Amino acid sequence: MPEKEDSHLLANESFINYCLDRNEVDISKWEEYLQANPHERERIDALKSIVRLTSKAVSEIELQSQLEKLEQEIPLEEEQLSSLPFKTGRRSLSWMAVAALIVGVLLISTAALYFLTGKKSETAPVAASFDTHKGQRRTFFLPDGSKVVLNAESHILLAEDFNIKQRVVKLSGEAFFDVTHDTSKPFIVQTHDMDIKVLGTAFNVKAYEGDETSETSLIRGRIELSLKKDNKKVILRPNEKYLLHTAGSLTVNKSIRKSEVFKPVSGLQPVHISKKDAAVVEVAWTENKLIFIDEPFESLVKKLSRWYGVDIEIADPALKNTRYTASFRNENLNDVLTALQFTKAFSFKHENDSTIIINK
Amino acid sequence: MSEKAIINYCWNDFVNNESRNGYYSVYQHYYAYLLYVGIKKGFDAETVKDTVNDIFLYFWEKRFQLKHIQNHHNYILTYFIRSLCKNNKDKTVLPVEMDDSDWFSAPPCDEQLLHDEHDKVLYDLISKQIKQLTPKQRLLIYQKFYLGFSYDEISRFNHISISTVYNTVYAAMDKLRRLLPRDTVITLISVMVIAFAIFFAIR
Repeated sequence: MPEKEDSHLLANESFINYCLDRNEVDISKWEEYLQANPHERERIDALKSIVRLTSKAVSEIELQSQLEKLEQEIPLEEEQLSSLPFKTGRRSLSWMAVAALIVGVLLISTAALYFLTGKKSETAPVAASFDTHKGQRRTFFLPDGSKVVLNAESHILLAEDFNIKQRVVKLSGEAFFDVTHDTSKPFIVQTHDMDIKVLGTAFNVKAYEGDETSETSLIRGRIELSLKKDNKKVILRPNEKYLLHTAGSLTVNKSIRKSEVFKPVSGLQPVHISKKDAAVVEVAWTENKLIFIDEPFESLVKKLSRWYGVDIEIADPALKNTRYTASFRNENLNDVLTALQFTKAFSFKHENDSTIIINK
Repeated sequence: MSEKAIINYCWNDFVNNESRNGYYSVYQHYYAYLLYVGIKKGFDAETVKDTVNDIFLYFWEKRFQLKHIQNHHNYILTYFIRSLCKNNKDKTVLPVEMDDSDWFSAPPCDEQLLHDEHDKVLYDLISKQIKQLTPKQRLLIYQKFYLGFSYDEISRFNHISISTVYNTVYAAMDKLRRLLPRDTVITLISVMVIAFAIFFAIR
């Protein structure tokens, strides 16, 4: 029996069985070997660690890649937006053990520090910010566990005392929030023309400075908007959105009229549900979908430009008011423009790497 | 709580509350097991993987209608095997009976390991290395080290010679071994303990 080199052992059937407790015969065979050769213990234990960790690592990678495939096929729905990273019971148990270990070590070291210096160490709050540039999207979790998906060209700044008494973030641009429920610490999103106060919910805020409109769409829960200009509060219910004309007059319209799609006024509106795949249009971007419903070409182009990080110019003003209804997922910009050409003919050419000119 | 009780709880959470977390936990629990069963029945690994995802997609769509199911384990297994056979009629299904001794159980590596810092360092190195492997190599490593098939079985299931299987596994493990010099593995434990202590002392 083996004085074999390590690599041979790592591929040896009986040795792998022993490491993974697979087969009684192999287990006792290797235990006997260790009894007879105690000096081998250290080497064998190290190799056993490798085998076990390999087993764990390969299964984890395999599972994750399949899980990602599955996730892509499951449509985003109301209740699914709350998907924080899930954990199996087993994994959370072992994580709890790890956490307990870390907490234990921290306690001991804090105690040591306390006795050594006579001072208690404090965790100072740190202000944090997140940015995206054109063509970029990011998903991250805030210290309170809330999930944020940040769309292109957007900026989020966490207040210095975030998660102490309340949770205040400043947003410019567009973001989707799934807020962890905590009634004792209200979550407040500040934008340049409204504040949004929530207790635990999922919603989308679009507030690009310079855009004609800002809007807040509620997917689940309940939020309260404070409009800065009017000093007015509005309550939003699920699947409603509040559209604010930053340039025009601030009329609040609670009734839902179809004409609003064409001539948007400030006020409450239902969110758009795409007929094709029942997706909520306002948050489709978080799933990498681009959906346009009766959208004027000019604003459509603005969205494309942000999305793909390319400057797009409309040379012929006559094109600006054509309206499009379309949805795209994971298509490149050329394919998108080519598809749009079928609706109304136009031409486009790449001026350089970062600019596209559209003409008749 | 036993693993079985946890999965029962997750399944109930999924069918009663449409819980996404419950659903994914059930998936994670059953993934390797169904793969094991499917491959043992003679279907190729890719087909089996696709079928597993298909049936879970179906479960998600039918989540409002699953409350009546008494024994979710039998339901999942039966539905899985039926789907495999229905969609692959041309295949001859190997007559594999799953008796108790043949029961797939995950290798017992999760609990004891990864509590030590040094294990985590090793684990990260190994994960990185495994990501470098080609899909084919990874498939064989998965079947050998996680599903626990013998070299003989792997060679039959994947229609490749036994020496190819062995050589692939050997090459991968040899690379891993060279990546992790023995001294490193052994001394990592003591080094990590010291580094850990220093880290917290400085703080």
